[in-house]
This record gives sequence, C-alpha cells and structure tokens, in this order.
Amino acid sequence: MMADRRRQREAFGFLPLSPVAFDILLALSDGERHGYGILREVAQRGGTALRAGTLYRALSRLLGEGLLEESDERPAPDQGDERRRYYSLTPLGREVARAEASRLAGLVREALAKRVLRKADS
Amino acid sequence: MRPAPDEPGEARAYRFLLFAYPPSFRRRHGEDLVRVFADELRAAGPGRGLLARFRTLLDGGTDVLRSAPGLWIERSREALRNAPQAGEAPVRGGGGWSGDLRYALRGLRRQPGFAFSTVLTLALALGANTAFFTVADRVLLRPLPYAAPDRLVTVWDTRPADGRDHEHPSPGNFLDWSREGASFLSMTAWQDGSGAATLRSDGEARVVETVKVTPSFFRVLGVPALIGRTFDPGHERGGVFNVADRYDGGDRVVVMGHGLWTSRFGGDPGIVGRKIQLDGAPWLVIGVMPKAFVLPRPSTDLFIPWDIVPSYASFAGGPPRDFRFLNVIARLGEGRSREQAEADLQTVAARLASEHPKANAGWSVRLIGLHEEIAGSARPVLLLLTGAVFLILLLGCANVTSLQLARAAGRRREMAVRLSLGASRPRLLRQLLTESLVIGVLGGAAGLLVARLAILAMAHQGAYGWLGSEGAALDGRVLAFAAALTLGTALLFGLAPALEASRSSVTGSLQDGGHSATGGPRVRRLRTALVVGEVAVALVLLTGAGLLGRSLLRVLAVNPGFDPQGLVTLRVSLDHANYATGARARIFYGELMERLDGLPGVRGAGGVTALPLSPVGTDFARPWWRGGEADPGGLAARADIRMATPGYFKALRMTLRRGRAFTTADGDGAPRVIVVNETLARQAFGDSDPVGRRLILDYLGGAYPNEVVGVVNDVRFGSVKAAARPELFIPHAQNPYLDLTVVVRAEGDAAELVRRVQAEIRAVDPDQPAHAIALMEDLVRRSSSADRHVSLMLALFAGLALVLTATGIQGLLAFLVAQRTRELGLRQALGATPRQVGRLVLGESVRLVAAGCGTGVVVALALLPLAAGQLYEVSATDPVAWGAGVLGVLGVAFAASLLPARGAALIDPLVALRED
Repeated sequence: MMADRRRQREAFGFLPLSPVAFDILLALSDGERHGYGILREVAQRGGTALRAGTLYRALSRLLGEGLLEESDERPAPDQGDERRRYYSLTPLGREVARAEASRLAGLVREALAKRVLRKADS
Repeated sequence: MRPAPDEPGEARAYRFLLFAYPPSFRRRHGEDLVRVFADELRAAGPGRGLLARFRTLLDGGTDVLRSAPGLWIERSREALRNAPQAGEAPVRGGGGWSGDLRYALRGLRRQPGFAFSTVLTLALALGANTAFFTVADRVLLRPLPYAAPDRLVTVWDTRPADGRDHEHPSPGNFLDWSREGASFLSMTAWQDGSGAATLRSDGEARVVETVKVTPSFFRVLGVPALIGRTFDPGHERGGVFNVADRYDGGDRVVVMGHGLWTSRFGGDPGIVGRKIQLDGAPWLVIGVMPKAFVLPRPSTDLFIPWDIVPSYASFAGGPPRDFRFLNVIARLGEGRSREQAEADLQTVAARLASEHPKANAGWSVRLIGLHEEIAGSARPVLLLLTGAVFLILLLGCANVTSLQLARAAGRRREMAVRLSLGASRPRLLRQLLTESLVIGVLGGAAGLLVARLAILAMAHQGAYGWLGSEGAALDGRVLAFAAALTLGTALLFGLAPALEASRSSVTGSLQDGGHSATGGPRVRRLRTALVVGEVAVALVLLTGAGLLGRSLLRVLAVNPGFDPQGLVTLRVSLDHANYATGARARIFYGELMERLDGLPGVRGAGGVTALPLSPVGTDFARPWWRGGEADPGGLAARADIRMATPGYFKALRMTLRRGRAFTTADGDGAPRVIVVNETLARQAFGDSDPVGRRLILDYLGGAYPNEVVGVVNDVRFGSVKAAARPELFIPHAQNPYLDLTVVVRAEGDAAELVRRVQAEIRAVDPDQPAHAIALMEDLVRRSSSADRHVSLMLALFAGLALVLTATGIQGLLAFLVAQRTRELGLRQALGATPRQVGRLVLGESVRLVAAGCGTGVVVALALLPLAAGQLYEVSATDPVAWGAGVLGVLGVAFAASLLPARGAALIDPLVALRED
C-alpha cells in the first residue's frame, strides 16, 4: 500500500510525457511487444508517425528511467520466428501511463467545459 | 554488427547510416533498429516496386539523422555527470581519449571566464579568416566554370604613348586577328553596352538585357547549353545589325540566360524551339544556358549571334578599325603560353598599324588572363584584408597562448602530483593538448557561425563584384580549410603551454609550495615576447585603418560635379520595331521631357546616353581636332561622346562655365552645336574662350564641324575616384538615340516620383517600359562601396586588435605583479609609497609597449606599400594616421596597465610577507 502511494507520487514527476513516450507506453499496456510490434500498434491506432530511430531513442530513454524493461532475445512467431527483444511496462511505467492518461482526460474535460471541444467532436 | 549475407541493399545502407548514432546506443539497439527497418521494408513489399522501397530508406534515413543529434547531446550530458570528480581518473595515467575529453570539458566548465574569452577570441579570429578564405577562394582561387579556364584570355588594345593599356578592340582589327591568329588561338567577341530589347509575351512588355556575340562565343568558352544547344559557327552566321543597332537580316535565333528562363518562363524546357517576340519580331530560342554561366554578366537575359562583316556593309573600308567597343576573349592553342600568343598577336597588330595608320598608328595589343580580368580590382583589396585578418588570427593565438601559459603555470602542482602518482609525461602532454584541441574546436565551430554572418555582410556590401556575391557559401572546401586552420591554431597555441606544464619536476614543484604557481622566467619571457608582438600587430592594423579611414573621408568628400540628392534615374530603351526612324525617337523624348518638366514639384528633367556612375549607358569616344586644321589621322585626340536633351545639365545641377546650354531650337536641320566639358575645352583651346570656335568630330561615318556653344564643369564619370575625362555633348535631337537614361529631380518621396515618371512614359507610349531604375545617391554610394568596405573592415580589425592587445597587456602585468608580490610587499615595508610601487608596474608596461611600437613601426613600413594602392589622395606615410596609430596603441596600453598597477599599489606588505 505504502509502496503504491510512493509510486504514484513518483509517477507525477514524469509528467507531462512526450507524445512518443505516451504512445509507446499505451502500445505496451496490453502486453509485451517487440520493436516493430510497437510501431505497428501505434500506426494502427493512428498515433504519432514513428520510425525506428525515433522509437529506439525513446525506448532507450524509457528503459533508463525504469518505465520499461526488456527481455532477452527470443523467437517472434509473427516474424517467421526470427529472434527479437521484447519490451514490457514496469509497475512504475504502468503508473506513469495511468497518470498521463488522467492528466489528458482532465484537459479534455476542461476543453468541453470551455466549449473548445463539443461532445459531437470527441 | 555484422550484416547477414542475404540482407537487402537498403538494409545495408541503413546499417551504414546508424554510424550517425553514439557508439553505445548503436551497440545496444543497432541490430534491433536494422530488424525493424527490414520489417518496414518487407511491409513496403518486395513486389511493390523500387520506388516504395527507396521511400522507406529515405524516411528511415531522415529519421536516423533527425534523432541522432539529440542522442549525442543526451549521451554527452550523461558523460559529464558521470565523469570522475577533480583529479580522480586521469591521474592514473590510463584512460582513453574520451577520458581526456571529459576532463578537458570539465576543466573549461570550472573556469567559465577563461573558456568564454578563449572561445570567443578564437571564434572571431577563425570566423573572420574562414569568411575571407571563402570570398578569396571564390574570387581568386577557384577556376572559372568554363572548359580549361586557364587557357582563356581577354584581348585589349593598348596605346603606350597615351598610357592607355586597357582599351576595347575594334571590329575590323578583331576580324584580322581572328583570321591571322587562328593558328595559335581561337577568338570570340561580344558587343556590350546598350543591349536592351523589349520582350513581349502574354500581354506584358519587359525590357531584357541582350548581348550580341559572335557565333563562336560558347565554343571558345567551352560551355554547352543546359537544354537545347548553343550557336554552331558552321550553321549560324548570326544576325546583321546596322550601326543604329537595328536588325537588318540574317539568323533570328537566341540563346536564353538562366535568369530570364526561370523568372519569365518558369523554367519550362519547352521554351527551346519556340519563338519569342523581341522588339516586335519573332526570334527562335535554340537553347538555355546553365545558371553557372555568368558571362558577360549574371544578369544577361539573351545572347544574340552577330555577323560582323555584313553589319558594316555600308562602310567604305569594311568593318571599322577605329570604333573601339568590343570585348574579346580568346582561347590559347595547345602548347601556347600567354606570353607567346601575346607576342605573336602583337606582330599581327604591328602589321595592321602600318597598313592602316589612320586607325591603328601607335596601337598594339595585350592579353590578360580571363580570371585576372574578372577578379580585377577585387584582388588587391582581398589580399590586403586577408593579410590583415591573418594578423588577427596570430593575435588571437598569442592571447590564448598567453592565457594558457598562465593557466599552465597555475597547474604545475597538479601536474607534479599526477607525475608522482605515476602518470607519464607524454600522457600529460596528450591531456593538455586535448584541452587545447577542445578549445580550438569549440572556437572553430562558433567561428563558422561568425563566418556565415560575415560572408552575408560582405556579399551585401558587394565589394568584390559578382564573383564575390554569387553563391559564396560554406562548402566542403571551405569547411576543410576551416578545420585545418582550427587544428593548426590549436597546436600553435597549445604546444608551448602544454610543454611548459608537463615539464614540472616532481620534487621541485611539490617542495616549493605555491611559489612557482606563477611560472618561471621562461614563461615570463615567452609571455613578454607575445605581448610585444601583439602591440606591434595592433599598431600595424591601427595605422592601416587610420590611413584607409582618411582615404575614405577624401573619397566621400569628392564633389562628383553634380548634385545627386533627390535625383531619380531610369533607362528607356525604345523598341526598334516601333521607332524605326530617328524622327520618331526625337518626338518621343521631346514629348516626354515636356511632360516631365510640367509635373508638379519637378525641378528639372533631362536625358543622356551615358550618365555618370551609372552601370547602363552607351559610352564611347571619337577622334576630334580643331576647325581649320588638317585631319591628324591616327594621332587625333579622343573625347567621350554623349547625346543630351536641353534640360540635362540643369537637372544634374551642373555648372555652365561659359556660353549656353542646349535649347529646343537646337534640333534637326539647325546648325550642329556641341557643349564641351572643362577638360576638353582646356585640351582643345587652352585658356582662350571656346564659345563660337569649331571642333571637327570624326563620327557617324564622316568628319563634320561643330560649333561650341557652351562649357560645363567636369564630372566624375566612371567612379568618384576617377579623374575627369574630356567629354563632348551633342543635342539628342540632332542625333536621336533610341536609348536614353532619364534623370528627374524633385522634392519628396523617390518611389512616388518613379511611379509618376513611369506613368508619364506610359502616357507617351503605353507599350514602353522603363528599366534600370536607380537613385543617383545610391549610384554615388555604390561608387565608393569598395573603399567603405576596406575601411570598415580594417577599422573592425584594428578595434579587435586593440581589445586583444589590451587583454594581453593586462593579463601579463597582473601575472608579473602576482609573481613579484613578495618583492613589492618588501619594498613597501622598506618605505616605498604605493605610488612608487604602482609606477614600477607602469614602467614595466612602458618598456613592453615601446618595444612593441618599435617593432610595429618597422613591420608597418614594410607592409604599407601593399595598402598604398587602396589609398586615395593620402600618402602611405601620412603623419596624422601614423600619429593616431601610435597614440591609440599607447593610450590603450596605458589604460590596460592601470588595473594591475593599482593592484600592485594596494599590496599589503604584511599579507605579502606572510604568504608562505
């Protein structure tokens, strides 16, 4: 319980996230993926247009900050069993994603209240 | 990272691009990146064609290059954060270059003042040098964009007896030269000057700049067309143009310049093979030249082939030999040197002189390399300033060396500790050189920024002609120069301090505590020598700046002979088709002048064929002699001929010295009258009154007498510095030229005036555009732009030199005071007053500066002949400039000495003596 509370506090220190970082955390929220898997997931969702260099720069940073962890290389069934490195969220990473999402949700509520955005648009 | 053997080519290329990333990132994620890229490539599909795959590579590559800089910055920040703290790691004597680098960067961060001043000094010095190299490379070094450009020469007429060494050749002589010289060179000529034609397309009329060239023009230069073709001498003979420049038959084809092609025809390649309406007639476009082709000028719009012989069919003796207006370029034959070809051509010229003495007596020829001819007057200016800017670099080096020496002295203990802990001397030397290199590279990088700004500013000032302003950019060549200069500089200022610091002896430095913290006598001698050198260089630059500044004041004070204020000028080039006879041109200009005179606020309006200081105009000279005397043949003196309207002299506010100006009564059919300037009046009639006398003018195919009705003052024609030439004015109505430069003087807004004048031109002829619109004040200013540029640059350099020298002097004196703290304290304890102690320090400064000034005077005397060519009515030994230079250096040196002297005077003897 105490650990959760500390993690929540720690998560706020990462806000606001860059769009690329948020896209990556979101892509990994329903399970681990390899690099190309992240790219595809983000592209299908219509997120930021990502390319490998930008992706790995962000991955490297998120790993360094302890929001992600990586697995050793293992075969990827969707890529002809070629060996891949998989990425997944750490508990802190999940907490940061949640905090960023609620921050954005707050902004959207604000936009609705000020009629910058109307219900029909969203 | 080893590529798999079956990896597609795109993936290999991508793998190579990854070298843009920091090594640590590449090691960790490189393979994954390549795999993701390969996945994307697969998604783009092997069956989806080359284009899709190439796009993937392009996107991927762009992405790598975009994300790499950020990673480098992040990594170097981390490296700095994680670097060992002071004195830790490098002491061990191990550690690679990256350790040295980190240590050097941290050292600079610890001394931000030192870092800032050294990097700034180097940035200014290296930037200025890079900028001048860029321009000098463009103007002087880089080969012209023609085939074998070093074989191209320009050909000029000379007449040694009158000191003429750069006159335009005549068509008659040119034809003989090209025929008889065919064995040793191939020649081409073009006719410069009025060259304006009216281009009509899509209901818009526009004046374009044309140049008539002989059909071999592009062949001789060896430049093919960008699209289409150039003239083929075997195929085109060229057009026939009569003396009044009207088309009279022959080929109606043109080659288009790159500028007109892009601005008017949107770069449409379909223009080749189409016809354009030029002066009311269709001309076939056969080719377009590349952008890099800038002869005769970058602004040339159309090249028209010119068939010389039939153009002069009406002349009794064929193409004239004494109409000197051609520009001639020749290509030297295989194995011929310029000197050989010149000697051979002079033999031909000598024969022509004896065969045609009336036109050619006393005339010979001279060949000048095309590059030398184009660089022209920019060469001495560039050499002078490049020399000056190199002195600044030496000054900068001296200053940084001096600072480094001081720093090295302060670090002897540190070095001694490291040595005692086992570091080798070469290891320490490497560490110290790395520091210098880091400073140098930072300075060099900042210098590139300075260089870019400086180049823009220089191009803006337009001091080096079009070679200097066209596309001077920081390209690979310049970057290589800047890199070499930076490394050389870093070694120059790094080596002595590094050797000095690494020379520390372990026991000595550790034993004597803080004593040698200021360095030994060797350091002192070295720094003293550097400061003496700095004072010398500062004196040279300051004196040079003083001389050129005084010269500039003289140039600006020149009275051009007319009042440029409020004068608007524009060129009208009447369409040959619509103005087929002189009578129509006379009517047009008569009506235009009447209308302009009637405009409210206009104080005067006139027209002339060649306006002073203007880049456009028909400027030529013809022979004259006094009425009643025999034709002196080839020995006749020549005067510049201008056709002018009655209002011209008044519009320019020239002074009528004697007689009268032209009136509207001096028209067609009236007696032939002329106005001469003072120089011609003096040449022709000495001190006697020329009004009412006659001059015979050999012009318009015969020798006719003209009555002098007035004398006007001399004007500066070619430039404000050029001496007045003999000038002769003919009423425009008596010799109606199609092209006139119109001048209008009025109060108020110039742009508004231009609009009103253009409206009046349209009112007389709705189809007639004006061009070359300029303010007379701008033309005057442009005429002195090179002088202003040199003066401004040298003033800047001198200022920079003074600042550098002042910091050098102050640094050295402070260092000497620190070194002598104990001695100075002792003196005070023994009864010396603070004033006496301060004077002691000032005395040191005086010795330094005296030695520097002495050296400087010697160096300046040796160098000043270089600047003499740039001086206008100022002697290179001008006492005012020299006095100001010496006083300036002394004053700055004195000011720089005050602070250290005060420091010495304020030494507390008790503290000083207790110091160990």
